[in-house]
Formats: sequence, structure tokens, C-alpha cells
Amino acid sequence: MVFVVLSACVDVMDRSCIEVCPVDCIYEGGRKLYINPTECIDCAACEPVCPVTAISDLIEVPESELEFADDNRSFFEAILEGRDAPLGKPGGARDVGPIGVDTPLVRDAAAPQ
Amino acid sequence: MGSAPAKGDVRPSNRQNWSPNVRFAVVGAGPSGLYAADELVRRATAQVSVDVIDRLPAPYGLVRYGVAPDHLTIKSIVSTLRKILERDEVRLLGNIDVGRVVSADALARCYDAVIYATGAPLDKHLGIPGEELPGSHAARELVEWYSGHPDSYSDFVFDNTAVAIIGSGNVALDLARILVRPPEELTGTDIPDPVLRRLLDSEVREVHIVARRGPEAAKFTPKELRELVGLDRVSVAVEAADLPAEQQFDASRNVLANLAILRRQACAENSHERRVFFHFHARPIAVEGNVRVEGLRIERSRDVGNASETVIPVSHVFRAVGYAVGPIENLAFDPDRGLIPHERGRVAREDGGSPQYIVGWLKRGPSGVIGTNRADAVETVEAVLADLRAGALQAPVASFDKLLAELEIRPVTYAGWLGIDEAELERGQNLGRDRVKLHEWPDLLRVGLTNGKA
Repeated sequence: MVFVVLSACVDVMDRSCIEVCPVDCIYEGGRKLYINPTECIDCAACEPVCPVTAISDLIEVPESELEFADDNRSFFEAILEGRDAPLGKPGGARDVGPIGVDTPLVRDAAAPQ
Repeated sequence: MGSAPAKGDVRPSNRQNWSPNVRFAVVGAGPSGLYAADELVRRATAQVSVDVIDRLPAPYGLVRYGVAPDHLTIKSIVSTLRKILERDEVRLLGNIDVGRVVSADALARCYDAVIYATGAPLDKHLGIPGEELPGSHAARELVEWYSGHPDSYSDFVFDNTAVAIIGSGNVALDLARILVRPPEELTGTDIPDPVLRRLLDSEVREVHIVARRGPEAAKFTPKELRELVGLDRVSVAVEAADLPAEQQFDASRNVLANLAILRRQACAENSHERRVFFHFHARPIAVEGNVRVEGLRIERSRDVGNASETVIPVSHVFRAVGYAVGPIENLAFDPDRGLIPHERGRVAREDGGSPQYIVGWLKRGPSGVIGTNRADAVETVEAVLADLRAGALQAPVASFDKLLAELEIRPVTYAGWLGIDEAELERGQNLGRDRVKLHEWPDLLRVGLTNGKA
């Protein structure tokens, strides 16, 4: 199992989670952060530091958020806008830098109230 | 991550002409030391070198010798940490016990700055009668035993059905899980073979977790608790009366999640032969026994003014009540607080010499998860680099390599470690497992000092 960033992160991107991730697997999109499911080691360091409780263990995700949970994977497996290949497994967010674009789900998400 | 060729094989020769402007040493090759090494390389503007020195022939500290063997995904953090050791600027020097074979002063003379990342190597005690009986142990003894630590000379024979663990942190849950889960499930881990055989023969079927306070004060995390209650063929029991009434207080997310899991367990069936019992509000009073442990006397203090004593019959008592930091040569230690006073990782010298630096558990005390060390390393490294820019550091006046040669100390390099790594994989294959650890000094040194070409 892995951890996932859910919709509460949209337009917030506090980034506290990035600082504590021991494997640097939390990547920055345009409006939201995404956890790389193939790089996450399931350590749970990120979950308690998120100020908007946007991070959850995949098995604990409420039904209303399943789409956003699954979308973490899409960020790495689908080809994002302006790119010609999926991100895949870059091996560390810090060396890649902010990606700057989002999945269609996040791009088109309503701004949080 | 399988993409680049194993650089460690070629790098030592590349380093022959390496002439950095600034030389750093990090003592301790666990996560906090390695994150510090990484930050030194990433943040320094000058050309730097970082020697990561460890007492043991193998790197990775508690990832190798603390994280439980069945936590394979957490152990995979090694693929991140190894990239730090494979940096051109970083060199691993294992098998060097700073403070014993090399003095802190001698080390300081060889570097612009030294960062200590040696963790919390001491055990807290309970101070109750019988604590020193055979069969009563610090958690660390069991952890080092099942982790294949080369300094572990313990041999645990579990020929009784019940054991007790005192404490309510993740270490307590680790011990409980390793002792209670069906041992066949551990064959996929790197656990040393003699340890696995002892666990396969173990008679333990009941693990009693004894916590002085209530579950709302427990330090373990929901993730670890969830894993324990989710074990196949193991029942986990807790008394409903030990749990606080619902929504009684404003608790943290972790506490609420723990309570939710424990509430479910309070109503769960206990149909399995293998069982874990949580005893909350239970104060350990004495370890009982004549020549060895026969029981743990506890005082149930749930109902104020109505305390009652009982003895849980057990053959072993493990105290998982915390690790502690100890004094280190040249670093002023505050015995009352059990810590080394520092300012953002900088430890001023009383004699006015160059400051030294600390990071990780040595700096913060034994708390936090592996990831906590990343932000912590940033803070310490920023302090080092600020002092470097301010001209507060003394340039090295001696060569560490020459010193080692004079003292006839042979370090285990990264290439040597790769040899150990390879030997462990090979040993695993021979036993039909992925990896089996080399757990004895002679084996580690024989392989590690011949650069893997044993």
C-alpha cells in the first residue's frame, strides 16, 4: 500500500510533506502535489504533517476521494500536457524540479471554497 | 534504482586526483548522517568532499539494524540512501570507531568540519526490582539479535508460551509482531538464519504489551497498530474498559485513529492460538523470578483509588521504553536533560576551538521517523555552511588517510560494502531466500576488506 495526496491539496500546496519524505517521492504539479506510487515506501511520514489533511493511506481513502487517490498514479503514468512521455519513475522530485502541469482531473477541478 | 552501473566499483580510483577545497566528515552512516552528507554536497558552493565514517563495516544504521526485517518496503529506502554514497564527493569509511581507535581531536584536525550523527545508543531503564534477571532485556537486545547486528551475542530461546513487552511505542509493536507472527512468514526477509531457526522453534503464543498510561497516551502510530491487528492467524485483544469514552477529549489524528482501531479490537473475537494482549493503565512493579524471569508484576491503576496487583506469568520481559543519547568526546553533555546542548545543530566548544555539529537522534533525542532527518539535516548543514562562510572554521592540518595508515586501520569502503551486499544476496540464494545477512564481525571484515573479491 502507499500514501496518496487528495483533493484538499489543490491550490494549497503547502509542501511540508516534501520536506519530510525520506525518498523524495512527492512531486509538484501546477495546482497540487502528487505521490509517486512506485517510489513511495509507505512510511507515513507525510500524513501527519499536512496542514489540510490532504494525505491518506490508500486503504483509508473515503469513497468520495477515490478518484483523486487514483489520480496520483495517472500523474506518473499518463502523458501530461506539453510532454511527450510519462514521468514514470524519475527517482527523486528534487532533481526533477516542479513539473508545473496537472492531470486533467486536477486542472479542471473547482477551486476550493 | 537499476539505471546507472554500479559506480562504487570504479570510483575509488577516480578519487585519486580528487582535490576538494573543503573537507567534511560525518560520523555515522545512518539516515541522518547520509542526509547530512547529501545536503553538504548539494548546498555547498565550494568543491567539497564528505567522508562518511561508521563504526560498523556496513552503512545505513538503523535502516539495516533497527527497522524490523518484515518491514521490507521501509527497508527499500536503501535505494535512495545508496545514491548518496554513490556521489563522487562522498566516500564511505566503515570499520572506524571514532572515540576509540581515532580520537575526536585527531579527526577534527583532518577536516574543516565534523558532523556527528551517532544516534541514541543507550537504553532507558525502569528502575524496578528484578530488572537485571536473566530473561529481562532492553528492546535493543532483541532488535539487534533479529537484525543480525555484529555486536549482538544474544541467543534467545523461547521455550515458554508467554512474554511481556513494556512500552507503547512502535518498537514495542515491532517486538510483539516479530515474536507472535507465524515465523514461516519471516523466511522472505533478511533475518539471520540462526535467528530464524530460533523463531521457528519458538513456543511463544501470547505477547503481553504493558503500558503505564492509557491508549490515548500511546506513542505507536496507526499504521503500525493496523499492521499488528491485521496479522493473519493472530488475535489482538484489548479491554473495552481501558479505552476512553468516545470523543472525550480533543486528540490528535494519530490518537483518534489508534482509538478507532482499538475499539474495533475490543469487540473482536479472539479465536486464534497466537494472541497479543494490550494492558493499558498497568504499571510494572517488579520482574519476578528466582534465577530467571518467571513473571511480571503489574499494578492496574485504571480506577483511581482502586489499584490492584497481578502477576503475568512470562519467561521474558522486554522493556521498550525508549533509547537515550549519551556523552560524546568533546561535546558538552547535559546529563539532566540527557542531551547535547546545541544551536541549530552547532555545538560550541568550551575551549574556544572550532564548533562541532550534530544531527539526527543525537541532536533531537530518539524521536521522529526516518523522514524527519531530512529537514533536520538541512538545519545542521546550513549552520555548518554559515560558519564556513563566516571564516569560523579551521582548515584541516592533517590527512585522515595518512592517519589511518599510521594507525594501521583499514576502512571498509563503499566497494567493500558492495562486496558484503553481494555476499549476502548469494548466501540468501543458497538458502532459497532473497538475502541473508552476514551477522558476524569476521565475515563482514573478511568480505568487506577485500573489496568484495573474497
